[in-house]
Amino acid sequence: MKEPKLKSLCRKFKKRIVLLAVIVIVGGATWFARFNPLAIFFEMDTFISFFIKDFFPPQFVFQAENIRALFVTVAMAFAASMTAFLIAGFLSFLGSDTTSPSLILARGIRAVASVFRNVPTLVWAFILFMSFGIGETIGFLALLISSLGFLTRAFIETLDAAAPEIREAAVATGATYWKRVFCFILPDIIPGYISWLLYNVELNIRSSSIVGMVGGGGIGLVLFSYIKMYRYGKAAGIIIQIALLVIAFECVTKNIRKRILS
Amino acid sequence: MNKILSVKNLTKRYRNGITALSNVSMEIEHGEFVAIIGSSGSGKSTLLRCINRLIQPTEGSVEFDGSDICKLSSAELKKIRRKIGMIFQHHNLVNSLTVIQNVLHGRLGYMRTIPAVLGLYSDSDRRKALDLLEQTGLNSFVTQRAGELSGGQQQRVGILRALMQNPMLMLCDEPIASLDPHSAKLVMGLIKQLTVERGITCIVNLHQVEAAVRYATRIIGLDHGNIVFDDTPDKLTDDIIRKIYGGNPHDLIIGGKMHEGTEAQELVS
Ligand SMILES: Nc1ncnc2c1ncn2[C@@H]1O[C@H](COP(=O)(O)OP(=O)(O)O)[C@@H](O)[C@H]1O
Ligand SMILES: [Mg+2]
Repeated sequence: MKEPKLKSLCRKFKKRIVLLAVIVIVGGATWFARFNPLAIFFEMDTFISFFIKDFFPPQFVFQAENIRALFVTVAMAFAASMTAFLIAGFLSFLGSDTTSPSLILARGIRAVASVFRNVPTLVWAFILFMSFGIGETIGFLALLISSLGFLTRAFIETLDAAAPEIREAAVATGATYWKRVFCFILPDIIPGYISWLLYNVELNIRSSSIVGMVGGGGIGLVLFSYIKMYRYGKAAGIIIQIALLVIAFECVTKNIRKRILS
Repeated sequence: MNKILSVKNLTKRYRNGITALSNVSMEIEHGEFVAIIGSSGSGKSTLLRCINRLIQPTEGSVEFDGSDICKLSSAELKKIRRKIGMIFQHHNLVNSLTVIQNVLHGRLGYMRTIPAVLGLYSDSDRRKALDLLEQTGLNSFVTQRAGELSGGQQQRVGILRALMQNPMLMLCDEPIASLDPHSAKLVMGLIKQLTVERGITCIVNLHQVEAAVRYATRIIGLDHGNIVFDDTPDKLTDDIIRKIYGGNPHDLIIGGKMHEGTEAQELVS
């Protein structure tokens, strides 16, 4: 009799407890970071004047070098996504309990993939930058690591959720493991895998320019050098280009994903 | 003497402690068309899946065509499964593949690995699949994706996939439970016709008593994992029906439709 009472009491106060916790955490974090949330309002005018005076008008620099940098950024994103797609596609079969030859191996793969995914791309780029220096390879590797984590986890989830009915039908025909995987499971999951790949390309196009800023090369590095040289107009031009690029890709991939999943 | 399947003292306890089958025994002869009826949760699906060992029985034995299914190695089991076709309530087709690809899947068990994974089916297999599709009025859907077909059409594809295995025994787990009455009639008629023509023994799980009486040569009633009736359809009286369905009048009146709802909920929760 006691337990249910306690439970319902807990449920009653749950919302309030959560609200209190949020207030404490936000308050604590603000105090700890010595960040005054009201500063946004007090310093709005400096912010606006910086924005208008320095960033406007945006200047577009159509140098071969900048256009090449833009291409490099896109290429890094694509190359990382595609490479990760192939590796993660393979790893997902070892990482899902439903297809893996060993449950311990499956757990290991999931753990490593989680670490790869949960450490931000920027941090990977920074670690790589400190050990190998600046370059497009660094950008590619940083994107690859986080894409690998992201796609492996996503693929394993897709595989886990793949219709168990189809697996059952495959077993009932008397088909062996490889026949079941290639003829039943793969055709069932591939649309889902491709949809995740497109989403990953979208993510990578976005982080590719940011990774560039900490030494990954491409348009991000160009942007960073403009900012360091106080060429804010030119920097604004680059920012607009990046935004357009991201938006364009988002439109394209969203469309393709919709078509695949329908 | 002429029996194809002999189930002895079969018991299945799931890991959560539920006893789905307790001490079930039955013998089935060549060419019989057996309907297993019983309310939702009475153990019909479990019984069917113990026969081809999609589910491992806890106790008892299943003898099919002279071999004890429960004692086979996994390689031997795969070979035996080719001789047992299976049809499911939700068709269980690969929706992204074409109709003919799904039908040809029935041949995979007989093929070598490399040609199988590459989808290199023999001409005679293709011919046979096309013939079957034509016979069942599906010839205009051959290259359409299975997912684009209606429920009744998908179930017909499921039947053909099972037939491609050249089975001796056909297991059907509620093949008409999610179909409208018209498609249900068509599908049941097709299962009956195709198996009788080929002398294939057939075991069909059904919710609907009427369908069982109409098509089966023998009816087995399950209640809470026990066989409570096993005889010809004409011996099935109202009293016995009430007994099979545990005295729950809803099962009788609303029949399949209500069960569908409850099963869907079970799957979700
Ligand atoms: N995988 C499972 N794990 C645990 N219990 C199960 C499982 N499958 C079925 N059951 C239980 O076993 C009993 C019989 O189920 P089932 O064979 O599906 O009956 P039916 O097909 O007649 O509806 C039910 O009580 C059901 O809840
Ligand atoms: Mg069932």
